Amino acid sequence: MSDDHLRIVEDDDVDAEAPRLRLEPFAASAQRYLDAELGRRQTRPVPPLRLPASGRRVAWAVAGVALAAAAALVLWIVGPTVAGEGTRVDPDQASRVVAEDSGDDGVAVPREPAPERVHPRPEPVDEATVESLEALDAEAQKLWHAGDLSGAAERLRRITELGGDHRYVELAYADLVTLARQRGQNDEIQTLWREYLERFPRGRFSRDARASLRGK
Amino acid sequence: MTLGEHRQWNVRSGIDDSPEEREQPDSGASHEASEAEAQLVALAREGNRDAWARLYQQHFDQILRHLTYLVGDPQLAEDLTQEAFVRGYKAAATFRGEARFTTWMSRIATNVARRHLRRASVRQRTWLGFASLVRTNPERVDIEQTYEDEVRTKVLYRALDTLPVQLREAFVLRDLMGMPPAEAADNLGITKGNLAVRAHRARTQLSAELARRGWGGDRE
Repeated sequence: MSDDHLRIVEDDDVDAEAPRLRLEPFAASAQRYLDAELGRRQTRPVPPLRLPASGRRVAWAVAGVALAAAAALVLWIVGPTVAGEGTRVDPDQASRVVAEDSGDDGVAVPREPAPERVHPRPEPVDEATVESLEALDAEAQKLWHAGDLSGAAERLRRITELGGDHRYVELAYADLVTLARQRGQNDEIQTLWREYLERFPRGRFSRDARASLRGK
Repeated sequence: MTLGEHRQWNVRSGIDDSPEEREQPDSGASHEASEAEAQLVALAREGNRDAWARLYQQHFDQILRHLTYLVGDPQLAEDLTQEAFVRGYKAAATFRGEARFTTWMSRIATNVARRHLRRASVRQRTWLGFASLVRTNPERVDIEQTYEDEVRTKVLYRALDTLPVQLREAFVLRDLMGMPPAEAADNLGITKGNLAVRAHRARTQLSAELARRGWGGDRE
């Protein structure tokens, strides 16, 4: 069946034209907007590719990550009495073992420094942690829908502390802001957005965060 | 084959980087470029990480574009591009070379996007920050084209989030990316007939959703 035949089938269907016409301005806008965003993106270097480590190192790396993640969880549970006042558990430490473990393969292209960053870029997390994040996220959503806002907020907080630079962390911050808004906690919203911008100064919600902090 | 210092892999790094200086194969060298790529692919299939990193550099933009259109979020698409190339690396041994490398990677990218979009909770929160924007009076359209494009894009993708993933894919590949039917069908792993049906259904549902939200028709 040729493409022309398909086009004729669609064109003969008068009902098909109305939706297509209504969507044309949106499609054209989306093409212009996304292509402009992609064009801006192309002025920056391609980020380095984070490949998993290979060979026997995997077992040691996984063991190291599991140990570090367990230690982070213990510190999180025990809290500041062990880690010291105001100290946040550094979930990045766990993932750094895997991210840097490229050995002789030499594939780990050095990260391009981002001069405008004040805080170091969060590190990626391993697959086991990602699964934990997914579970916490699902739990948070379930509690939220059931009306347990505190329970949902607690799960989302854990995601921000364990999730490194994973996109679930960004979404967790956005959800925490929504929860705070629901509970009328305006000061909390400001605190959350500041915290978010420290970790993700160019994150997908950075414009919302800055707008909120400016009071728009 | 010598791949050189890793510094050469970052062909787009440094302050002198610009789209014009970026390596682009011209028509006269396209055959040589294809052969060079075939050699890289052959090495990558044997597990050569350096070769894979080079392929990643060369095809990053194209896969990023593909994913950006599918998910509607350039920053998210960048994360998914990484994920796609990691998956591609793990599956490189299965690439038989019957299709172009870009075609094969695009299919992987589509699968990565599909996996992400099927997590309903994520889709519902894709435009969290812009929910208030679409609830405001849609007639308040700024004069500037760029702002208007941004608003319409977000409204469109919000509506796309309400579609089943397979309909969304058909619409994005055909109507937004302008992919020819054969290529789009191949990318999605379906027949051209099936693609036409899905695209038609997507347009109908999208149009209705936009009308329900107060967009479309005479407002445009």
